[in-house]
Amino acid sequence: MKKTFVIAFVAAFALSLAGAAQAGNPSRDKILSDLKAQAGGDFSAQRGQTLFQSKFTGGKEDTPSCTSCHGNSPQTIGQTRAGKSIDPMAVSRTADRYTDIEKVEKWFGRNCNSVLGRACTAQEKGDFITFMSQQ
Amino acid sequence: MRAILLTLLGLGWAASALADGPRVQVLSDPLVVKECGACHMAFQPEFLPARSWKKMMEPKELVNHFGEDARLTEAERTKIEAYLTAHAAGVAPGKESAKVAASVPAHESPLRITETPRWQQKHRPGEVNPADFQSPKVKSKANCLACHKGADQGLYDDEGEGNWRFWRR
Repeated sequence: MKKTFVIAFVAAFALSLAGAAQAGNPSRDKILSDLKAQAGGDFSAQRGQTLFQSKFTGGKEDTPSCTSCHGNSPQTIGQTRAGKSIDPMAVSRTADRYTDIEKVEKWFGRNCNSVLGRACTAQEKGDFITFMSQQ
Repeated sequence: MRAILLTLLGLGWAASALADGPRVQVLSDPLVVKECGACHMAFQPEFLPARSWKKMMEPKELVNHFGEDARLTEAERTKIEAYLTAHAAGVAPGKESAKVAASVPAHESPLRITETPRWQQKHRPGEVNPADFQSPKVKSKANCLACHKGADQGLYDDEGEGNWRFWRR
């Protein structure tokens, strides 16, 4: 009886954790819904992953890919070209990622130009954030 | 008696150490620390002349800031430029500020601190092993903190291996 109770308790706790992880963040949800209104379509984590990992030639030569500074995995700590460490991009590792619209716009604005040589579309930003939110 | 003398000696050393303090002004403006410190340590503005900062902060320079786009809003840009030029080499008080200013020829506006004669003099081979800059822990000459552990607090005398240089003085 006691054992059953413990198992049930642990299971309930695990479920609540999983629920919390998927619940998202109101600020991030708002950023995503605004991007969706602009993009018009659904976002794809798969496309976000491709964007994160691809190498581009249109941008600046020192930064051909997001991974040039952020590292090959969203889970790892990145490093700027000047040697400063960058918190992981994955929401599971850096909880406040993509929750401040000004910060989001500032860094997509800079880094899309550095890496792709152009601004990112709302579709690309949404795909990217969707991918990172699931990491 | 001997204990008292030793204590006094110790106090004297501590006082001189404190007086020595940071030889470079600590950068305290929150906007400058946040924006300039996002990708690299926020370098103290007295390491470059005001004309260098003015050039660096031009919008066309900022979109290609040492190979990266570092654009700012116009409000941020003007505030940061005002701070940097008001605390530049030769403008900020202190010896280091004056030495940097004196080292840069009047017709030059270097954008890299590492291009100033003052920086090069202090990091010349013999003073610093050039290979150390290639170490993965250092990665870049812009990474002051890799060796100067107190750099962001204006302390550049530690040399990274304890405070031996500090003690020697």
